Amino acid sequence: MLKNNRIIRFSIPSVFILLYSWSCTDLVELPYDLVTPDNFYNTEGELTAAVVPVYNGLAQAQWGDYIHLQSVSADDIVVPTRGGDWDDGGTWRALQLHSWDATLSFVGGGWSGAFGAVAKANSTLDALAMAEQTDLVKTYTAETKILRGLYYWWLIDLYGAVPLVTVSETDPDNPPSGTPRAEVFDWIVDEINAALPDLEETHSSGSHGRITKGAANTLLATLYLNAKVYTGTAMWSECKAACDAVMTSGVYDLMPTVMDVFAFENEGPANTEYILTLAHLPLDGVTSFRHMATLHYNNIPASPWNGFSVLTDFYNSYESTDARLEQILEGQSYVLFGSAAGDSAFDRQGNPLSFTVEFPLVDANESAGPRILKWPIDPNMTGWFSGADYAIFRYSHVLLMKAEAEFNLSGGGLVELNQVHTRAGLDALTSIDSDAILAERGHELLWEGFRRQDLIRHGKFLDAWTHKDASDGDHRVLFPIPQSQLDANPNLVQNPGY
Amino acid sequence: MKNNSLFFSLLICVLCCGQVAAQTGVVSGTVSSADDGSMLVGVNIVVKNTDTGTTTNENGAFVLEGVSANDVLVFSYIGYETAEVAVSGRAVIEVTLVSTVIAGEDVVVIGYGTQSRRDVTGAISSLKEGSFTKGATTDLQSLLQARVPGVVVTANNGDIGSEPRIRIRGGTSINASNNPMIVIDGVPINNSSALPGGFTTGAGAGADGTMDNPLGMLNPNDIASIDILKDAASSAIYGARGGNGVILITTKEGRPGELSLTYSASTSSSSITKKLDLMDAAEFKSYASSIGVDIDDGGANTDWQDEILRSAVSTNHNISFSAGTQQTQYRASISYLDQQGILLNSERQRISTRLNVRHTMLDNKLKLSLKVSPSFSNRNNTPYNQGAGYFGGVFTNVLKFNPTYPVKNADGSYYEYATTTIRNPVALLNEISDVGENLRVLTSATAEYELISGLRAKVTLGLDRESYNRNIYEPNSLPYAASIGGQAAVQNTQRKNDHFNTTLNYSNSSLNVLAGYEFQEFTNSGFGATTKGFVTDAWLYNNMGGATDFTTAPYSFKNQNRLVSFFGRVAYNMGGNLNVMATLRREGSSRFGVDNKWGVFPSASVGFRVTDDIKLRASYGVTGNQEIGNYRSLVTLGSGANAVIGGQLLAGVAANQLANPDLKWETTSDINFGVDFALMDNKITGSVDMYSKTTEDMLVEVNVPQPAVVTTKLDNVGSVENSGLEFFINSVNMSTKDMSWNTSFNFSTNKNNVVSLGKDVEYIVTGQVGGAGLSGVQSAIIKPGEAFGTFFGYELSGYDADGQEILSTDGGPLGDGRRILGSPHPDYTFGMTNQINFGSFDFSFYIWSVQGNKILNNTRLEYQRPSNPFNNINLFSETADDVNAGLGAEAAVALTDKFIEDGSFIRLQNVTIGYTLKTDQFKNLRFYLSADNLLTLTDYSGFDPEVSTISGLAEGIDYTNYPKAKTISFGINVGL
Repeated sequence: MLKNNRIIRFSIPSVFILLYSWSCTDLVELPYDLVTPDNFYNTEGELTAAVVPVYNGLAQAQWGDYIHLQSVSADDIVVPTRGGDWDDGGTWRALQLHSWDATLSFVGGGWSGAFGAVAKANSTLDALAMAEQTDLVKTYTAETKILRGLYYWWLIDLYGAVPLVTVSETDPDNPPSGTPRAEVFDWIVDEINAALPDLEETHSSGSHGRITKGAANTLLATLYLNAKVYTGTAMWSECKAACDAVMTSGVYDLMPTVMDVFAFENEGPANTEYILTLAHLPLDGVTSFRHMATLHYNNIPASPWNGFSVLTDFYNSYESTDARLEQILEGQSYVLFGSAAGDSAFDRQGNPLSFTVEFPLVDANESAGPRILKWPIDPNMTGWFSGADYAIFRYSHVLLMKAEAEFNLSGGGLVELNQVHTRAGLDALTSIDSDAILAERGHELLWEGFRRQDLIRHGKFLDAWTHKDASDGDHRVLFPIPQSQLDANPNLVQNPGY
Repeated sequence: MKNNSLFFSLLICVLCCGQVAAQTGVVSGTVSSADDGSMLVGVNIVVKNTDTGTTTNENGAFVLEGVSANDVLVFSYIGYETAEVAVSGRAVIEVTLVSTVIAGEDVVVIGYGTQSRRDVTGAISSLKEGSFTKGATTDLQSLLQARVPGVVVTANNGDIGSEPRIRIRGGTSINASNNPMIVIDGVPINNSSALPGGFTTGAGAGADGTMDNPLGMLNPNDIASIDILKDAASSAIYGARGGNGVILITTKEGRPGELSLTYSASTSSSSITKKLDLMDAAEFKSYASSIGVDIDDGGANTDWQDEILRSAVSTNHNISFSAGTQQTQYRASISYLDQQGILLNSERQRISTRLNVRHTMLDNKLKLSLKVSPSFSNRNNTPYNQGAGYFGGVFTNVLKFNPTYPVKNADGSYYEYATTTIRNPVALLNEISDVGENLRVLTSATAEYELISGLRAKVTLGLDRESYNRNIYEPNSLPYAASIGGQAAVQNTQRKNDHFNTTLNYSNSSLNVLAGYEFQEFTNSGFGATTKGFVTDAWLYNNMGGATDFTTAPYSFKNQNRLVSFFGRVAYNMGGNLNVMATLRREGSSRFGVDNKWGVFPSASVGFRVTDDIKLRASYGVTGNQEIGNYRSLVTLGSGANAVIGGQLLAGVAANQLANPDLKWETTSDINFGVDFALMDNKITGSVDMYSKTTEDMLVEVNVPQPAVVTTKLDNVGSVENSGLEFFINSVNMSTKDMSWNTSFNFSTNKNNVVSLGKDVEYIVTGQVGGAGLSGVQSAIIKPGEAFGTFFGYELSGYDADGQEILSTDGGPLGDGRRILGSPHPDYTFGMTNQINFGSFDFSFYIWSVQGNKILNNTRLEYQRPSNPFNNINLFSETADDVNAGLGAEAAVALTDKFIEDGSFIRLQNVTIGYTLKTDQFKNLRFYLSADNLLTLTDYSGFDPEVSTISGLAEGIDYTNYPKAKTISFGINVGL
């Protein structure tokens, strides 16, 4: 043991010294399952992948804080508090009763949802500008600009003056202040007009779900429709012209019956009425939520959430022969999917399930409220994921805008109004007035995101209805700027009244 | 390294006897242990500065030739202090060597080295094997619970093998981890569970919720000591990872001498401590009819708690053997644990093995060590989803299920609701297969070489490898799973942790200087897939290709982070009474932003021995917390924002994070004052520590001005303070030949106070409450002036004429009527241990108490709701009282002070009585009976006050939790 090997004795210290001399100091972070902007946006496929998230923002029109703000604050849709269910800290009641403040989660989510999509559009436009300007890149650029304009339309509609930012980086020490609503309005109109030539005209399978000329013109018409609210100046002739551009394109037409519009088998190019489609598949992330939000637990095996209902007064405003009532479930209810489809449905106590028209806002029971089955049950539903498409713009909306524009320009519009009215199985109206247009829009576009806008434009948003008293002030026509944004951005000014 | 700082405590006892010889040449003698007088075998003896030497024989005797009268002999032996003895012309020399560990002062592990307890200048607590609980222990953390002042270990729930929460002197962070760093035998390990997730809510609900213990692979019987670095001066040597304290675990080594074999076994029985007071069938029917609900009567009277609970039996076997020569020692161990939880089918098995080998060569100049510990474990995960999921897991459904329903139908099938939202909990436990399989291997290898006297170079290589598989099958026999045709998931997580460090250490009797370099890289990767639609349940998760529905996307991931550090330490004994120490670490982490890659973490501490029995300590240090996740400073593009265009599903890739090139560690600076005392001939020893630590650059998710791709970014803007007092005393009440009685007591208090969340954030609300109709209801607020996760909610003052709750309407931190309702953190905690030996009997018990903390009883909030029968859902018996008091049967119940309960408790944590049989066949033969969690005094109404359902940043929420058990164990220890 003690017979020392001098070579070992000598070499061991050398090994230690060698180890000291080796020292790694490389701290560069290596992403493996992530990409950074430096190594992306190179191929056509990657550019497509950059445009897709901008489209993804449209999903908020179907399910998310944007649509909740636009629908639950109006006189048609409500989320009753059922025992403790859907109490959710009183947030749904605050929307319905116009008692929200700047900290309400929907108010924050509506802002960040739309602005998040704007930010993605800005980054994507940067990447597209760097790319070779092929026809595809030009079309992508035009589509992204229209989408960004659409999100800004949401923002000025909900919040009034908002920061107009068209670049992907801003100075963190001097964040953007609010741009006057009319100025943003003008900018959106200019953006749409500039992008229109690069958009596709047709409504084919390839453009299903994409921004086309028709979608852009409908957006333009919708902006003009509300121009007085946004800018103080009505723009009915511009509205009419934009509607005409859609109507004369030859691409769109009303479907023969109300049920045809939403029929599952008509999804895709066969549906001549869908102008801007939020297409769905029965997959997580691209599913429809509408059936889950409204149906009773026992209506389908996926066990929906038993929430959204139609308000009593609004339900009662339909004519009894209106075909659109078929889209609303009232009274005895049935199982709608699965092996028991067609059987009577029962509530959780085992009693027959019967949806009631009259119901309280709080202490409502599980069968309270008529439900909306406008978007079909997907026969290929997996779990609760449904592929039922949703229309952000439909042709009937264009016809009704045309009617409203004609009415305001010349007292006309009865033809277009009746096209929609009689399609619902009703006798043609003999005269037109503002209330008839508003009522028709309400019944035709139930839970399609227009009701709050329509009520504001017609001066009725602050009125009392079913459970709601008259609003506590004119300021309720705008939502407050979210408190979190006022905290983060000292250059923002809260809307008056909040 | 181990001997570096032991010169202070070196006690060499050299006995010279025999006559003085006129001439030298041959020296003989014996070497014995100073502890017990036993002869030491294989002691290395060399003539100083020569190659001449020998070792002692089996009788401890030696003969050495060629020694001259002026030579000095060096006696060295593992585990003992080296002694240098001048020959001084003698022919017979008898030497006793002093053990490094047992005699004299304790040795404290301080990170990259050890120190005598006498010289410690920081706040370091140590637990040695001898003071571990004498009962049956299966996990490391239970050794720590209630034993160390300033260290609060809380079981989050009663699930077996679940992760307890360890907090050393309070939490310092909102967005980074508050868990202490764990170092095992010098290698920092990955301290988060690798268990892949389960199915979450939706159609496949119920399987998630398991909180697997990342230290579950450790066999407590292998642990020699646990040292806890509490103040920043002590933990600053670990730099950017020391901010939450450091726990250093040292495993047992072999010793020279004859073979030693130990065997221990225990068998345990566990049962529920307390059941919740739910309505039984008669109460439910009567209450329902009183509020006008005609309940669906299933005709049975089922106590669903009884149906899912059982008396659980566990067994544990440990064998270890060790032996060694003076040059080579080893210790090997294997343990087998088969543990049942008190829920049906909740169980785990663990086989944990360890081999520690040491080898010394080249005149003791080169020391080699290899420690390998592979462990294998399986667990049946229980589907007790605690989260905010609407469907919930077993406990949610126990609470919901109509008590008039039977468990099974006449035909033997499970009784189920017509709706699939409420699920038979017995069926969930019996039908879901959810199995985790873990393989983890910890390896550390060290080599240390003494370059010149007192100067040692050391290299440590550490490898930590873990593979965790989780396979889940939810069969068609469950109605909700039948709606998707059954679903199977196979998932795997791989963890790699490569560690290398090298140190150069010089020590003499008064000075100890250390310099080192360290590199560590953590790599995590994994994959998983889920398929649905099975024609048979027979395949479980073993034939995923047999499914018909492949629409769920598979996943894989990989991420990595890296730390590089340079560090140094100087400890100097300035003449007996005064010790000073300073450390410095420069640490770089790949996680930090490009402009802030490197941080510097200094510390200084001083200890002054006023008398031999009283030492004053003062320390200051700066540490960091880098547990912020990977890639947080970069703009990253993530997938997932998809869209369907042209009938095709198109994948979107968009930025999902904003850049922060300035992102860096959270910085904690800490001042600690302490006193160590020893009174009455060391019969009473103890310490008192006071500290105040301030964490700055605390990471806060800051709202960013829009438009922005995400709403917040992580920024170093916040600040939080923790201050507290700790007290520890150990008293030897009696110590005679036949009887000894030892008591130790610890007390600690910590006050957590948020100072700032940055200029743009007034408060953060968190603690999402679980349950239907409670979406978006937050229970906790983080704001300056309050502790982390302070509960807030309405104050309930009664019921109005309509039966609605009358709630506080304005005021409170948000001005909306929600008031501060208390802190989830205790005012103080204490623990007391008594160990009594009387003849052949030993008796010990320890008591733990937590006082002044609040618990949100979220389970009550949801299941004390008067309207539950409308939904055919059961509820607590006490709801009938609320309704009698005026609460409307259909009223919504808000989060109010009614559900914020006092969580204080005093618990008899463990009682053990043992009997040691004196026999010649065994070195040791002991039988014991032990009881854990036998008695708890508390006003808390839930299962148990020691609870926490993780919800955002909040603690102290109790929601549909796995209940705690009491456990009675019988065990045997055998030593050969």
